[in-house]
Amino acid sequence: MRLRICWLALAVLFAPAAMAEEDGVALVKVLEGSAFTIQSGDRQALEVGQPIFRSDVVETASGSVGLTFKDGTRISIGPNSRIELKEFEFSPKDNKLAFLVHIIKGTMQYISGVIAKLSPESVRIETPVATVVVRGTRFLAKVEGE
Amino acid sequence: MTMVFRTVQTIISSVACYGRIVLLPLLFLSACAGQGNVFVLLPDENGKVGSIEVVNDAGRQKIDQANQSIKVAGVTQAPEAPQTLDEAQINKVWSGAIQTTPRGPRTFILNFRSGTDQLTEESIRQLPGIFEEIKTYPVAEMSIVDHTDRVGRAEANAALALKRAESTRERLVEAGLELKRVEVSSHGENNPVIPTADNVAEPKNRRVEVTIR
Repeated sequence: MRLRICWLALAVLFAPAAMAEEDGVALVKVLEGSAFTIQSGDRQALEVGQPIFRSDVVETASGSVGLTFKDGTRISIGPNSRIELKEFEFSPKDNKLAFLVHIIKGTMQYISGVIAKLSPESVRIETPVATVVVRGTRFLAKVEGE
Repeated sequence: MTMVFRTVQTIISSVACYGRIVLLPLLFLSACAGQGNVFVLLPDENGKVGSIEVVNDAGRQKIDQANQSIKVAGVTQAPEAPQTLDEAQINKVWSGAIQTTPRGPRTFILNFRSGTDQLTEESIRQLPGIFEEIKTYPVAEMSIVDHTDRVGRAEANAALALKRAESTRERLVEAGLELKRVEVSSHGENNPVIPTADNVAEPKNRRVEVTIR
C-alpha cells in the first residue's frame, strides 16, 4: 500500500512535465480542407485539436489551417504553403521568450500574442528573401519559394 | 533579343494579371499586387495598427499604416518602398489564411481579498461569464496565471502567486469547470499592467489572469 502511494506521488510529481511535452506549443483550432504536419520526416494529416510541436513543419495543398500558440500568438496558413516552427519559448517568469517561424513558401497571417507584447525583439519571421521584425500586431506574408 | 522577349513576357503576364489592357500604364506604377514576396501590415481585431520591419542584407523597410505592403524581389535586393493595397488585392492572395484565423484569446482579471488566496465577491460573480465564454471556443484552452508587483523577494512573491493561481483553478473546478486543457503558472513580476521600479507597491499588478484561447 505504502509503495503504491509512493508511486502515485511520483506520478503526480512528473505529470506536469510529461503533459507539457504532449501538449506541444500550439493547437490546431481551425481547419479548411486538409493540412499536414511533418515530424522528423513523418507526414501526418492534421485534425482540429491536434498539438503542434517545436521544429514541426506544417504543410498545406488546397487547404488552410489556423493555429493558436500557448502565449496567444496566432498563425494561419493558406493553401500551397510550407512553414517550419523553429523556436518557441514562453516562460515569462524566467525571462525566456522566443518565437521563430520560417516560411519556406506560401501565404501566412501572423497575429501577435504575449511574447510580442513582453519582448518584441524575441519575435522573428524568417523567409528565404528577408526577415520580418515584428512590433505588433497583425500582418500577412507571401513567399514564392524555390 | 532576350531583353525584348522578357519585356513582352512581362507585359503578357501583367495583362493576364489585370485582365484589361486599358490598365496597362498603371502596371508600371503598381505592378501586380501580391505577386512575388510580399508583406502586408493589417489592423488587428481591435483596429490597432502596429508596425513591421522587413530586413535583408541589401536593406530594410518599415511600415506602420494599415494595408501598407513591402515587396522583396530577392535576397540580394533591398525591400521596396511601401505601397498600399486595397481589400480586394489582399483577399485575392490571402483569403485562405484569413478565413482560418483562430478566435482571439480573451482574458478575465480576478482579484483576491487582501493577503489571502480567496477571490473577492465581485470576482466570484464573474465565474459564470467565464464558463459561457469557454463554450464559444473550438478546443478551448485556459491558462490561469498569477502576477505580482515588485514588493518583496521575487521567490516569495512567486510562491504566493502560484498558490493563488492553484486556488483559482480549484475554485473554477468547484464552480463546475470541465476543461481538460488548463495550465496554471506564474509570471511573477515580469508581466505587469503598469511597469514600476523595484519595490514599488502596485495593486493593479497583483492579479490573476484567466485567459481562454
